[in-house]
Amino acid sequence: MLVINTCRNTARLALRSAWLRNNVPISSAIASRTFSLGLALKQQDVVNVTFVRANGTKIKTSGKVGDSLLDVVVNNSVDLDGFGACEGTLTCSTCHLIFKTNDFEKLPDKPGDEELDMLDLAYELTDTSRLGCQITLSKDMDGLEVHVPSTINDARSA
Amino acid sequence: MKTVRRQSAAHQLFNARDLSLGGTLGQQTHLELLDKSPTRTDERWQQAMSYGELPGPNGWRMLSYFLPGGKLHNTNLIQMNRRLREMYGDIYRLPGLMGKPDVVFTYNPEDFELTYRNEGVWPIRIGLESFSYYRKVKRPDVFGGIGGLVSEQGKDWADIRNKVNPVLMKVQNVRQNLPQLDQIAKQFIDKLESQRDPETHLLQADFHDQLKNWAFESISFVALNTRMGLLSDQPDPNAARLAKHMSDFFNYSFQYDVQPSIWPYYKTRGFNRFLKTYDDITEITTNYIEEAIQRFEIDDGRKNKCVLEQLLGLNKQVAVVMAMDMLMAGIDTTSSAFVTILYHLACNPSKQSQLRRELLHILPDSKGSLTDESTKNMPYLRACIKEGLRITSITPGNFRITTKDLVLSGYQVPRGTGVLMGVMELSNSDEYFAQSADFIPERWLKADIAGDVLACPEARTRNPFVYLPFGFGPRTCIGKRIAELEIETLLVRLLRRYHVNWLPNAPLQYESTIILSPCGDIRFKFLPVEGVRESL
Repeated sequence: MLVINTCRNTARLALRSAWLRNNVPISSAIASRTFSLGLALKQQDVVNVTFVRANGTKIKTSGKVGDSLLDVVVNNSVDLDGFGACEGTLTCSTCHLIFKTNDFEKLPDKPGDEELDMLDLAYELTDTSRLGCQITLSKDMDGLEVHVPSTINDARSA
Repeated sequence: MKTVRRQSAAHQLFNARDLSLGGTLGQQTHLELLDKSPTRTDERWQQAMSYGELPGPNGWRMLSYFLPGGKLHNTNLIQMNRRLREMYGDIYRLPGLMGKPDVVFTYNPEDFELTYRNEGVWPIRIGLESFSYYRKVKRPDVFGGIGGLVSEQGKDWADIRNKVNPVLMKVQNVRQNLPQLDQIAKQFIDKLESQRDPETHLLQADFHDQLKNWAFESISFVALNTRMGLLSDQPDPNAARLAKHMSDFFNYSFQYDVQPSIWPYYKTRGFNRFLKTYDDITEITTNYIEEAIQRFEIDDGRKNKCVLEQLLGLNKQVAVVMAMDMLMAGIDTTSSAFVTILYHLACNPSKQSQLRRELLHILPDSKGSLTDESTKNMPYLRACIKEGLRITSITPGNFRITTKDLVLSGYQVPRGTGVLMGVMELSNSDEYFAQSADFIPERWLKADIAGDVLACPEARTRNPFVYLPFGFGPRTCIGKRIAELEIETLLVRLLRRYHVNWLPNAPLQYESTIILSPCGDIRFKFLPVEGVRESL
């Protein structure tokens, strides 16, 4: 059940983000997505990212320069339940990610007021926490490894 | 067993409602949005007390409370909740009447957190049902089956919300409106100055009414790309009509959507008048939108598209619905919040002076313009706004229908139950905010500003879910960014220009309708800053 839900959610998220980016009918959004993925295959634009789940499992994936970490999750259908619920509008904290200190300090943009407010509401907040929707990939982030905190979920077993 | 009985009774009511409304209301549809997994069997759930053990009156007893002589007769929503909390404690249940689900009232921030964190990507929040009825049943010709963000649920809700999110919630996109909103704020101050007695520094007009005009002018610029001229000597004649309808609409909506009413079963004369008001609002707003469309067609070469144009680019019906919703939800709310914040600053002159130091940096020349760059760093202003809304959040509680089975305060709460989170009661309690009655913006500062203005995060609760004036998550108030931008802009202008004092001896009073709005004696004194030595 969980798996089906997750697949459905990710498919929906992918469609949603297509809308967001293009503001045009979905069919053409998908066409332009394919086109940009084609471009992304150019080696210099690819940024490899690894998401490490709370249970230690690693998900190796990649995005292109200019993508946010939320885009990477959505575009690659990375299976992280409930991630990015508000679609990067800074009204939730579900895309909370924990960086290694070194990586955290190198991030070019410091969090704005809106992000800080939402980080306050993040579960398992750390000193090196950021919201994935606010982190834009650059070439020098290639090989980045980020931790995905566990989600508080009352019905964990369900 | 109790749960089963409750649900079957509810089903009958849903069916009755189905007949009368052609199945448009959120009540039936939210059932299919609930989590489909089997009832929880985990340890936490099994160890919790059963739903039936939740304190609270049954349906008949609750009705008796509202009859003359009853404990809740003639109380407003705030008083009602306070009395029920005294009677039943920090978590209690009110039975659902007229086909509505039961509502669990909680005053435990851990429950707030659990409810929000388990709401998923399509949270359910039942809103004003008359919206849905009017738009879907009465006027499908205009709205094409779109009920709007307040009343839609599930995928229908997400379809609209996903479209409008980038337009209305992306910080950078909303901040594009700063130059025009700054112009409107300047015009408001000019009008204030013309109504101000230079000897007594008193206003010869009702400040709250003037603020409503400001909020109307601001939101109609954003929603309709139209300057109504409400702050000038020659307002657009239709604007005054629209303003009147909006204020009627607010009252009607409280009567028919919040208070118990039989309109879903029988259309009373009052309800028909409500529908007439809806019709008038629809006619006037669609006319403004048609005019704007013609303007956009003529002037097609602009780089930055305004909010209305962006919405029209998505879908015309979505644009009409959103424009109307912004007007309906963006006047009383924003002006009430502004009065609240200004009142606290007026009563706390030292905090006001501290804020003015920041404003003098942002706007060294009061005739200058506000820019994205100059307004980026205003920590004290933002802290003042937060602190004002902490003491009086104009929406005293947040509401959700749970989609999963949750254990709240040790009780099993089955999916499909309403949860009302009593935020304002907690944000005014010393348990969560030290010296909670005092206006202390420093609790919200993230870093020290100066040697004598130190951040004081220990004066606020460690559980941030106690303070959420715009809600949280995917169903956060869609007007949040616009409202914040409007309030920030006018606060900068107003306090840069005047020292503001509160005149009445009594504190600011509120009436509780759909929102909490200031009422009674609202008078400020406005002393010009230029020429008056700042008492540092």
